[in-house]
Amino acid sequence: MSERAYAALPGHALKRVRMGGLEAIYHTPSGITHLLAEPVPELLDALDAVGTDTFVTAERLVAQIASRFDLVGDDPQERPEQVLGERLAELAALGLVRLRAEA
Amino acid sequence: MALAMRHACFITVGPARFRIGSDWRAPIDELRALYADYPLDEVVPDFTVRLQATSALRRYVRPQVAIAGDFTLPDALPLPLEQGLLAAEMAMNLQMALGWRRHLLLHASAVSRQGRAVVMTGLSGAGKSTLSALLAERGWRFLGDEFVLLDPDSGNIAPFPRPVSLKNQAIAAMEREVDDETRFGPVLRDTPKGTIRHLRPRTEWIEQMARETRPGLLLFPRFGFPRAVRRMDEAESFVRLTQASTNYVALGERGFDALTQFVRSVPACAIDYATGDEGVELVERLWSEQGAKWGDRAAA
Amino acid sequence: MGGQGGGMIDGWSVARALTDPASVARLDAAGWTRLLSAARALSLIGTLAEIMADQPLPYPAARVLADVRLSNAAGLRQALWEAECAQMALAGYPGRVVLLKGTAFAAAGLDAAIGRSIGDLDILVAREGLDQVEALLLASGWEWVKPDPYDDAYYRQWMHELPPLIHAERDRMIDVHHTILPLTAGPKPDAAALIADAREVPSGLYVLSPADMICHAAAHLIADGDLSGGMRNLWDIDRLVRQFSSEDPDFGDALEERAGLHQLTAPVARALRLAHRLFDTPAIWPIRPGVADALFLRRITAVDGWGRKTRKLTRQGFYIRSHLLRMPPAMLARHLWTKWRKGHRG
Repeated sequence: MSERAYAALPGHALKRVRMGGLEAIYHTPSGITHLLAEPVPELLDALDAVGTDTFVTAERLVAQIASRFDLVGDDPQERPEQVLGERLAELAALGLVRLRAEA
Repeated sequence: MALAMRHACFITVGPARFRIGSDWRAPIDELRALYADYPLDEVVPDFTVRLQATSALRRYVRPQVAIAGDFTLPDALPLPLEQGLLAAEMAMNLQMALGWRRHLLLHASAVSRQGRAVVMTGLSGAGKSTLSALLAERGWRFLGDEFVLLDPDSGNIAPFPRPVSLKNQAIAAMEREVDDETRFGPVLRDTPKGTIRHLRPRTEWIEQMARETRPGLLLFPRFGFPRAVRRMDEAESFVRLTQASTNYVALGERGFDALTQFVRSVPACAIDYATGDEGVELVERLWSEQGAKWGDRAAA
Repeated sequence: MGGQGGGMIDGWSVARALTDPASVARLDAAGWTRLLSAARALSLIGTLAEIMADQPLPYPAARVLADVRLSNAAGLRQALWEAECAQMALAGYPGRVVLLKGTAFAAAGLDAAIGRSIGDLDILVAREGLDQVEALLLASGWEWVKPDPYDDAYYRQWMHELPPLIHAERDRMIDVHHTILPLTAGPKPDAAALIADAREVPSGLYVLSPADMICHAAAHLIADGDLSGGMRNLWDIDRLVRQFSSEDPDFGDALEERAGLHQLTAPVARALRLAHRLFDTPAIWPIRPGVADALFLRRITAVDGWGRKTRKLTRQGFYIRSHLLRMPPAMLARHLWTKWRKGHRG
């Protein structure tokens, strides 16, 4: 079974501007603008901190940022890595993070 | 070898230069009259517009004006020749909306005072055009009623003071406001947008159309509602303006930079007003409040 | 002022400016106006803008072309992103996904991509893979442009592509081809060979081999369309021939072999002749004048200084011809009949 791992895009691929509680993100390869709410900017920051060429799983990212964020899904039964994994998968589908399936 | 267009003229509005060709004389004569105060000399144009007969027969029999040119929409319907002036105006708008790249284009009106502009945007029919025309008769400089051109490098607004396209009830309202009949174009009835009449801006605003100005205030006016004012945050302004821009996507990163800088630099409000006078008063009040803050900042 | 616009200015003047950029130094304002309009009407304004990028130009023309270059950059970015999106959507498809036309030139970094306007995304896949590709695209946000059962059946039965799909959010079209000519056209290109000989580009997608690219462009020019994009098409061929023949001195032989395989020897020969006449394209095949070449050239260059397509009669003739080429007469009658009935049902 393969596991999904994620990495930040190179710095020049995203342009980010804070607007109140939201962030406007310009994605250079597509020319598409996204307006995203928390915790997405924080997630992108966390991936950036890991390094742009380092792929990490949702589980490892949770370990990285658990000290700073309360990660709770709509359903309290959901595990934080599951919540995070879903957000990351959405971001990958938009091309905002890189995705790799790891053996 | 094809013949040239039978009738033609050149018109410069703000930074944009148009060449308009027509199979008939009337639309060109009407344009020349409406744009008498604008530079009409022959230049290499940014855009070419053609008003042409839908068929050779249609040049003479119940003539229909088809809109063509550098940028066209496949489903643009032809108009009867009596509405040739409107066809030309629509075609010029279309060139700007689809082809202009030097500025971020906002579907908005704008007026300015003391070097600071009020940008007014909203859905068609919300009253932004008429409000800008009213303000322009009451001491404000007229910058445009259809497009606001935002310079991505300087953040300034380049005036684009086309004749105001007055629709339906707004025609009578402005006829009361303006006592110079020569500033009005012909009355165009039964157009796809109802009755239309153009109002030429005061000559001084046309003469000053090369002078840029700083944006100062962003408003989302709505005519015909009880008076109300609501502050709008940056994110909501940003989203609304991306929808109000015809070339935001085409400009890519320059558009993103220009628009994020714009919404972060000017305060924004949604305003509802029941009458034109109330709209003017609201704009002037918000302007004064904001002006006091610019004063504070300048003093600090 | 209104009397201008005739004279010698038409497609030939655009060809002249493209092949001899320094020649524009002679143009006055009216000459520039006509040149820009003609180039725009021929979909060559983007190319003209890039070719003129280093020429000293009068300011009014320079700023128009500077805007065009901004549009070029945006168009290129959008086209490559669209290809990447299709690639993501088709990750589960085991066969090769071959990019065609402008997107292929861009993905392969070919000179033909410089300034070229790129419209829809065109891809080629094996015919037996169509169902899977269609399903994967539909699952990733693409939808049918026109839900008309007749058109749909027509496409599936007779055309060389699926009915066009459009992405619901990005508003961009994709054409999925399984060969490069309609099944009703005379020549039967070897689609399997096209895919087998395709070259991988860095993204992991494929483009046609150099010789097949020219076969495709020639097929497109001669048999698929009313020649309205003919001049742009010949410019593609010019750039491709110059680049491929400089990289491979035997390119003419390779092209001859592939053109024969795809039953496209005559269309390729004609395309090479026309490109040679218009753009002075290197003669990699012996140039023998063809009977209808003058007619083709008249049609291809038919645009005036106002951007109007001229010589309507020639254009009509070509439109009918192009329909006949695509469909045998009985089939054409059936097609028109169905269209006619639909028109009258309102």
